[in-house]
Amino acid sequence: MNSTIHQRSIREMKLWRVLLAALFVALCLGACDAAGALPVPAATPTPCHGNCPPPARAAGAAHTVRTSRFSLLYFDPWSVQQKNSDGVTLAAGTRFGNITIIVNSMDVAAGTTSADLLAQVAQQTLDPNQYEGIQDNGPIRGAEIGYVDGAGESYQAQSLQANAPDVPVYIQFMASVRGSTGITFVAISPLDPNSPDTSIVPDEEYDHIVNSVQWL
Amino acid sequence: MEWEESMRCQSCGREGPAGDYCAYCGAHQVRHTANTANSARRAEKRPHFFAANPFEHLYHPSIVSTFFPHLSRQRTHQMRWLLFILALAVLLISAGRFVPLAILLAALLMPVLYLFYFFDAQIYGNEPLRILGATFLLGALLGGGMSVALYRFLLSQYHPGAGLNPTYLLLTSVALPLLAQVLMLVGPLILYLTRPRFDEVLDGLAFGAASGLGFAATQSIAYAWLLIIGPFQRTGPISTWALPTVRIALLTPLLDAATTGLICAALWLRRDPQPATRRLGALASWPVVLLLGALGQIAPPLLSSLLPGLVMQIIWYALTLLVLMLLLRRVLHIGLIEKARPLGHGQTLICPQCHHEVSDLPFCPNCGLALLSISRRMRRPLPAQPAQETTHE
Repeated sequence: MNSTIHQRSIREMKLWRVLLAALFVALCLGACDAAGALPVPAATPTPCHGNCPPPARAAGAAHTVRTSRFSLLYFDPWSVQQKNSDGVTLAAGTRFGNITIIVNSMDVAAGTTSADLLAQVAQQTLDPNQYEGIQDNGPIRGAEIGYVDGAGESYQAQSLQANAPDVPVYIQFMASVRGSTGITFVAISPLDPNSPDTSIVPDEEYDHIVNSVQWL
Repeated sequence: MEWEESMRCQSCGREGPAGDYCAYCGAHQVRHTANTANSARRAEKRPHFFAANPFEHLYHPSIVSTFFPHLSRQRTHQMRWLLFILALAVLLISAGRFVPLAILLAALLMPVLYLFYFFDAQIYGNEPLRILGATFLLGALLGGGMSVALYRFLLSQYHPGAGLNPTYLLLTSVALPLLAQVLMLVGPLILYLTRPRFDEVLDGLAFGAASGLGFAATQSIAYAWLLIIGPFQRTGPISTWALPTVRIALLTPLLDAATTGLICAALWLRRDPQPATRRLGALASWPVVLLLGALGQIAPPLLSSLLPGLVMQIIWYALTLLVLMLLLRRVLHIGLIEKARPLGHGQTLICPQCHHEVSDLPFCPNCGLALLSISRRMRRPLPAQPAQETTHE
């Protein structure tokens, strides 16, 4: 009788140890989450339909970058990653990774439309070996670069890397043609362009940069 | 000892119970008929009959008999079906694009099966909490800890659309896999230093594999964090979600289990006090297995970055896993053959592979199974009773 009770109490003790261990693991995970070790993106805000506030300007100093066919203005926290006579690559860090913007210029044949240029740059960029599950999110209405009307398209994909965090990727393309010059704008972001990070709202930043483009 | 029928082994010359195999050295007697040096060597090394499962060739690429070598023949079949059905279920869920659920189930699939194996084979002896804590739990904590600690740093180094970045490539394909391999070895090394009574080559494999599986599970969950907290059902082609799920469910955990299991098997092989009958060879030396383990960790992510794509990723992982599995089987086979010893109780037991009643000698004379590959639960001797005739199932 006593030994049965003893065995039962040992079994209960073991069960308590397992439960305590599970609780400890849950607490560790909770602490990680609470400390913000793993990021949690904010929900996409409801689109603004009317009486919209003006886009907020990122704080920081303004910088100008000039190429052979255009110049543009960018603000901190953006920085130039690459630059040549045809274009520039800008990058900015967020809690969810880096946003990359590639603005390129080229001579185009007569009759080339913004839509043609857009299709061309989208085909070059959307490498299925680099991005998986590429999904067309539809056209960007009112797309323009440096106040020159153009065409735009928004895509969504996943960057599923072998030994690194899986990152959702939002890709936005815009292209405009003026005379024999074409300019393309490609923005690749791990953030939903509409979702505010604590420091950056991609869509607003894109607007700033494309509107600051001066055609030369 | 006396047997109803006995024979003299053509390889070691010892008198043992009659059968297809020598019960002392495991040499295959039928293969000795062609009386040449080559045939004698093959009979001793018996590459056609894996020591932990003589019904399979040494180089048979079987996940279950490689990573779950203690299982009996019947349990091996059951485990194979269980693995197939569960993997299929996870694949179907991912094909339905229920991504968070698919990733969580995929990450937990192999660790849960291995936990079941630990309990079924009683690998932990009489210390379940300590052994499970030092293998699965410590591996999982270190895997999750490393991934969470480096998560933001890795994101900050990744520039989508900027092409192949050598720094990022070296970080994710060389530095991180090496760090991961070191962390996966921590738990088994603690057991190596503190638990000398676990001295069998298969103990090393089980501890290493368990630590690797725990590590892979939490690492996969942490790396897929943004997908797990995202929409419950996603859109896009099925292959976008099914192929990464296969990698998370099978390839990554088995790769981690294989590299860590290989290193630990070689370490435990050296610790086994039983003197080896022949030289163990380079594959059983720890510098060689450390190098192989490191290469096994580095090759798949590096090749996946250099020649990218979901299908290519699966191919690189599967090929590396295949090579590692064959090497692992080789190390286990060497260990079970060259360091063979009886179980120690000196009585008779039922061989779990062929179900014959056998004496406590290093090998089953009927099927050639190395008795050290029998699970601890099945090692107990038959109750003392009048001698019975050998029985077939």
